[in-house]
Amino acid sequence: MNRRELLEWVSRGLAAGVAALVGLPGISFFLGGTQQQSSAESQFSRLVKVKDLIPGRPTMVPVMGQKLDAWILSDRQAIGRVWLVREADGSLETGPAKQTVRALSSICPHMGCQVQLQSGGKNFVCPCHRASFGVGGQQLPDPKNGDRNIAPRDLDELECRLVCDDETGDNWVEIKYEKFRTGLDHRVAGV
Amino acid sequence: MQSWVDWLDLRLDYRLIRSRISNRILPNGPGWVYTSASCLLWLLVIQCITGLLLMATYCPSMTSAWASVHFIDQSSAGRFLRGIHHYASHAMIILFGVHVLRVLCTGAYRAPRELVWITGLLLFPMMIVWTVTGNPLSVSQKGIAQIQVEGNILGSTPVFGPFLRRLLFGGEDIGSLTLTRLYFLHVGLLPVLVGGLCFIHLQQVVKHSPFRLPDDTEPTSTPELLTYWPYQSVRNMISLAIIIGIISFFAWKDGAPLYAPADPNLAFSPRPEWYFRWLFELRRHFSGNTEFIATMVIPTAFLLGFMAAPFVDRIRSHWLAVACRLVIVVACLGGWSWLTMISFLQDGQDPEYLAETAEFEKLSARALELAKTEPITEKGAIELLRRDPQTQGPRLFARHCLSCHSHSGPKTPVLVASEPSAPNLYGIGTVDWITGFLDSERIASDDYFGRTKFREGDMVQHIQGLFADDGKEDSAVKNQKIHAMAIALAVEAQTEGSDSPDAAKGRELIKSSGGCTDCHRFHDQGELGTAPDLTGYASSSWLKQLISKPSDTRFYGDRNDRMPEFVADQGHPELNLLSSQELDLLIQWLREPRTAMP
Repeated sequence: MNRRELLEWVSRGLAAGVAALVGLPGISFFLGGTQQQSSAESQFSRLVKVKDLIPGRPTMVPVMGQKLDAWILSDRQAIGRVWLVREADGSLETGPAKQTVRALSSICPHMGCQVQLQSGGKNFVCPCHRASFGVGGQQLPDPKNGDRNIAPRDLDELECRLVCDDETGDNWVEIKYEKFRTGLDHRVAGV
Repeated sequence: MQSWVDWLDLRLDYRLIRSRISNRILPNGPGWVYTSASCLLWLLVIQCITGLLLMATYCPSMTSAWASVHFIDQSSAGRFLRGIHHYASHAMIILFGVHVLRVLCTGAYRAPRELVWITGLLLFPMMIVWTVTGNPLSVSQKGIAQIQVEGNILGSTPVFGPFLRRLLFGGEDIGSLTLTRLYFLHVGLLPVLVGGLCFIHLQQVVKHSPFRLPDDTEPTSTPELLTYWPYQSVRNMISLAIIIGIISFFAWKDGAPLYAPADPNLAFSPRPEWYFRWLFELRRHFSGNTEFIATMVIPTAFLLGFMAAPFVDRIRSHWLAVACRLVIVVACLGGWSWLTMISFLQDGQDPEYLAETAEFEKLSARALELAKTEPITEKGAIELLRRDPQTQGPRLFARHCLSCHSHSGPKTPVLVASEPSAPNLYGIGTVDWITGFLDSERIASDDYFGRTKFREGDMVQHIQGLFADDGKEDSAVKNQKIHAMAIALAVEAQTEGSDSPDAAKGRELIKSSGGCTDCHRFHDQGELGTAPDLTGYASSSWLKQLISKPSDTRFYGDRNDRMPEFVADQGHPELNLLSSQELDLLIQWLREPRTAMP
């Protein structure tokens, strides 16, 4: 290596060092600087009393929780919504063991819009691409689309349990709220 | 003077640069087909200037953005500038399409201009992303719903999808960082990238154009050799003036749209802007795991295919080449128009979509109307509609009451329960509503107790015994009694103004021959525990307590039919079906639904 080549390499090396000094933290900051957390995920949150749900009629209930959105912490923010469907034969008087309530995520597994209850209350429909689901969350054939449902899977069912409050004797619906990736034919946790 | 100019020229060489640009000679001489390029460039400049001016007032925060955009619209100049910025973005996309097709038709991408073509094509997706990142900046329901779906599309890309989505949203979901990122893309990164590409694009255009030196004499006899300035420039400026004229017309007449502020609690069916409709339609034909073929693979394939044009176009025969290019242009234009048209036609035939769109337009109009009189607080513009009984009343009713109660009357959008099992609440507390209750025929109808467990109860029997047509008493006298009692109760409900002789007479009837106080309490007479309290009947506070706890002794006690306790627990507001604000809004609307909207 002669003197000229050495100086060339030193110059290039120093330039690369300076670029890396700014570039590497820059890239790491830009790609990594995301912060969102919500408290209600991965733990059971109490939603409504079983007796407030009308049997056979799906009810949309917001899941409230504390949410950290970048630099803002908000209390009691709706972090998601679920459709609660109480089985039509569950009677008011029986204890938790005798009643069945199913919780369905309101997020359409197709593109992530909020599914709505069709007027009449017999099925869900997504306002974005008209994917329709039965009250149990199962995909329904779409006659306008050659009986093919545009959604890749059924509505996501969430873990749901009924808990009796010892103090008041009320039966409460509790669910574990989770989000799943949209656009896949199987469930993958996360967004 | 001259010496100064010479001094500058010696240092800057600007005469040479200027002559390279303005003394260029175009193939076949100046012409109207070349104006699209220049119009695009000047529109870009106008976008940058109007954008910079808007930046001086706009605030990229989830709570303030809508309010700041509304603030901009309050000044007529600001509204005009925002209008220009909005309509010019649409105009640029149209012009871009025209420009690309023009270059394709004339085969102007051929060597040595490959880089002109490639940088130009790369500018197209950037331009699209530029507008896409601009639309949600007002934090309107429509803009946020659009970017939500666009983010999900990005997220459905294989392998990198979730990462890219997270990068765009700044987290799992749309939040504060999302808006900052969109703003960064819109006013920071994209201008730099587009600026850089534009520079290469224009440098290449100039470099590969023949030009005349400044001291050449003008060849007036051969029009093909006329220089860019002023012979092409005048055509450019005429075209630009027409386009800007059209844009200004719309900007002045309508301004840029400002839709209702985004509310994460509302569902909305977003549709992409017109230039994305083809993609929206194409996506219908793919589902789930293959969706990225429509959203990613096909557009990328088109872009790459076009970029390859200079390298694959080796057709010697002039006419064959022209024919091939024409076929491609017609196929692209035809396919695009076809998909776009189908998409709009389908929506036009979808009554639910049309109803939702119309409702959203009304909501947006309502938000603007409220913003005229109501202040926007630090909680943001979202509160305008959230605090509005007209907007929230019907929604809350539909969510919490409609499973049993209807709300249908002449002056309001009809909310009819599919299986009503409780009274129709339209006009509750008004003289008309109470009169119907006291009517021996109507009390047992579906509008009142017809579907409740009180259908054959004491109240119905009492009213029928009192007012049914039995031939003993003149019906006009009965109607007068009913009217007086209805007025007396409406005074309790505060829907009827101060006391009239009728009200006094009605109160007397309630306490005496009406027999009401046998079961109901009415001020100092009667007991609680057998029937709802008539003191303050259907007033705001009465309704509030009833809805909170219908099984309270003041109301139905253990005789309560099916009505849930909406505010069961004062100590734990988060566990109640209705928050106290929601309850107030619902009651305000129930008592005054006349100008309600769905």
